[in-house]
Amino acid sequence: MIKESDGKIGIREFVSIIVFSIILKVADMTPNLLFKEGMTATWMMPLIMGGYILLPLLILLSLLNRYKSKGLIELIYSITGKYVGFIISFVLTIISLLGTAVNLRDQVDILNTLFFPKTPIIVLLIIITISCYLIAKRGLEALGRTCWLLLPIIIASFILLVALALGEVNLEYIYPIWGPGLSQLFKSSLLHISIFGELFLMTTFYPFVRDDKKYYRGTFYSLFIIITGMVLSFLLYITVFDYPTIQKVAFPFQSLSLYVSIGYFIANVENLFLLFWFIGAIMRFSIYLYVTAAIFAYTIKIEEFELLLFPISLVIISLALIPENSIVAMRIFREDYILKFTWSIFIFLPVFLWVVDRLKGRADDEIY
Amino acid sequence: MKFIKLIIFLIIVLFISGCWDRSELERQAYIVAIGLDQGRDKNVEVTYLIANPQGGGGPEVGTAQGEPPSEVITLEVPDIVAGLDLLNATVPREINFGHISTLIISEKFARGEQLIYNLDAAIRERQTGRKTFVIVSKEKASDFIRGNKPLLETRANKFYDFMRIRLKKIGIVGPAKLHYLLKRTESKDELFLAAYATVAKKEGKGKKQGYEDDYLPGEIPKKGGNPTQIIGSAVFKEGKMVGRLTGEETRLALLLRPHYKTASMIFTFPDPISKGYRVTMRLKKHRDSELKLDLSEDDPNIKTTISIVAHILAIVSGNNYTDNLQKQELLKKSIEDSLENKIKDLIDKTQKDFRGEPFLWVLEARKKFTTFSEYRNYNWIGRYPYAKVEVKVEVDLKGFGKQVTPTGHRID
Repeated sequence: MIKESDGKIGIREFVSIIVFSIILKVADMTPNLLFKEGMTATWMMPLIMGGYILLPLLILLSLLNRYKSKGLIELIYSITGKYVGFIISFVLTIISLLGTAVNLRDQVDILNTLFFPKTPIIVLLIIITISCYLIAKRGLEALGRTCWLLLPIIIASFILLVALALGEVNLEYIYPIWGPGLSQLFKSSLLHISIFGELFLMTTFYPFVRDDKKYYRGTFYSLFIIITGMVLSFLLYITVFDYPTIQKVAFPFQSLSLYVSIGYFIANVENLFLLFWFIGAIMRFSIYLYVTAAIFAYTIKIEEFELLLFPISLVIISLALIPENSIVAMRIFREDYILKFTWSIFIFLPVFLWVVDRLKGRADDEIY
Repeated sequence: MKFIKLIIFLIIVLFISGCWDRSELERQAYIVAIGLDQGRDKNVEVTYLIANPQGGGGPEVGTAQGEPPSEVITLEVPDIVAGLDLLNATVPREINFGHISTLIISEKFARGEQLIYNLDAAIRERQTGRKTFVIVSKEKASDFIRGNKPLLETRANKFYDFMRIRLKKIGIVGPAKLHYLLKRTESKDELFLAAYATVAKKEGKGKKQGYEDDYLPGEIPKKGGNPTQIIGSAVFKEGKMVGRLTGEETRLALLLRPHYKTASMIFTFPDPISKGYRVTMRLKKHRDSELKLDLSEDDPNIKTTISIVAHILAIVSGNNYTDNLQKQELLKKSIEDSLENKIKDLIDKTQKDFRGEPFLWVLEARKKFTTFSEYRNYNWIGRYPYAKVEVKVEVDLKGFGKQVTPTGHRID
């Protein structure tokens, strides 16, 4: 039976969107950022991060459950009021916007360095952003379905890479087991939890998922898939490259695809993986673009936020052009400005909302 | 409307042909091997071996019979990549690094300080891979590349590729990937074994009697064929060549690696009964060796047991090592002793000459530490030369070929 479209997405689409928005970070410069901190134990960091974000995420979800049919931004407005709500929402918009721009720049730099060295960066940026704009314009339903269609392909390509790299793996490289030491590991994991930040930002679409219970389940399914994927890829990187070599490799995913070969005859397979990775990246940035537009629209209370996609694409292009090179983009903009600042927001915002809601709720109870 | 959309779509297709990075297959020159020599001052002499996919073939379609299979050009430039444009002064095609499979470094250059910084240039380039095979040549790398005249392979890259695969299987050359050279240089605690080679000028008698594998390149008593000899290893410590191992020492070093497995290594051992004769065996290692490290004292205590499966291939002395169980035992014992002694000499050499180990024992040592800084502070490579090492070899005689008693064996 063909159901009529109601503008909402099911659990499959929802999980695919979240997975796409986060898991592809293993294929950009994020691992490089993490290996610097986590050394031989970096593969544990996603697990620890997952532990950290579990509680704030649960709080946020229970709040959303209380205020039915409201997304993240509407929730913030109705809990904290017009003025504080605007400030918080605006900060989230900025985070989402900057995050998109810096990650996009990161992606373009990889493309530029490894595959298209002669093409100007702005051309690559414009081409990618236009593609993302065209996809995002189709709306959440289309995004969800495309992600759901592409997810098996991306997973299959990842499995292929693992299979090809298996001959190069040496499990002994993960020792010394605790890397920089447990306390350091927990500390740097906390500072980098905004890698999972999309999980929070995605709650903007809470009302668009068909069923509340499914939202809960979907969130945990996707968290599970993401953590498994990240742990596996970091394990793969460390067991092939070893620390400290891995720290010097700028793009571990691409270097790995350059390192492996299919048998003796087909030696250069990096372009095969470029294809899958690029498709995934386009989807990822379409999602980012869409989320940013949605958050901004809710912040300034516009109904038709699809109209915002185009101006926001332009803003993202211009922001992405600011960093001079990928190291500046990653080490300064992403690590120092965004990651080091946003981790506290993702931890404390849900707690803050919950406390305010409690206080207000008690006041309301007294009235009745 | 639909028609207009289709037209627009088709026009867009015209623009996605790669723009700036468009490249035509026919206009590419593929470099398959690179040689590195010391140049004047800080320059390097880089030898590029450019493959000609059309040349050297038979009368098939798409081949150019008159053309040679490859072109060799030597340039003096600051680093490997700097020569890319200069090459175009001679070669009309765009230079492509994507198919480099072999890196040849002259011994003189490998022993200098400059090498590791030049490798940086190679690995920073977007197309060069870490799987490149590293060969150290006794003479200048440019002479080696020019002197190598494979007779069974027309294409030089095929020769190097096949050599790498074959030599790795039999173990007279280690798994010498560029990745390992970089990795072991960066980890500082391991030695790297590159393939060691020469284009021997003199044929015939070698310098010494090395039996089946105990040769350095150029010493093999051989006549005819390609003058190239790739056997043994050039030992690298911290990105610099510090010594060399013969084919046999390389094999033993590989056997000492705990997880190294091999399907076939042909060894000969002195016959324990008839002096002067040798027994030929095929050794296999299917199991991980046992390796126990005790790092509690100042000097590490290392104990390792290697289990080897042996098959008798030839008994030229005619002694009955097959039927006679006592003689079997005697042979087994003598093989174990012989291997243990050779290994002992090798370990002495690594401790005294190289002051480091290529046996990957450091990976076992790493397990003893919980954090990376503890492990770094322990300073494995500084302590290894003083380590007490005990090696035990266990041989299982598993097979005797398709004869039982030797032909014409002496009656006991």
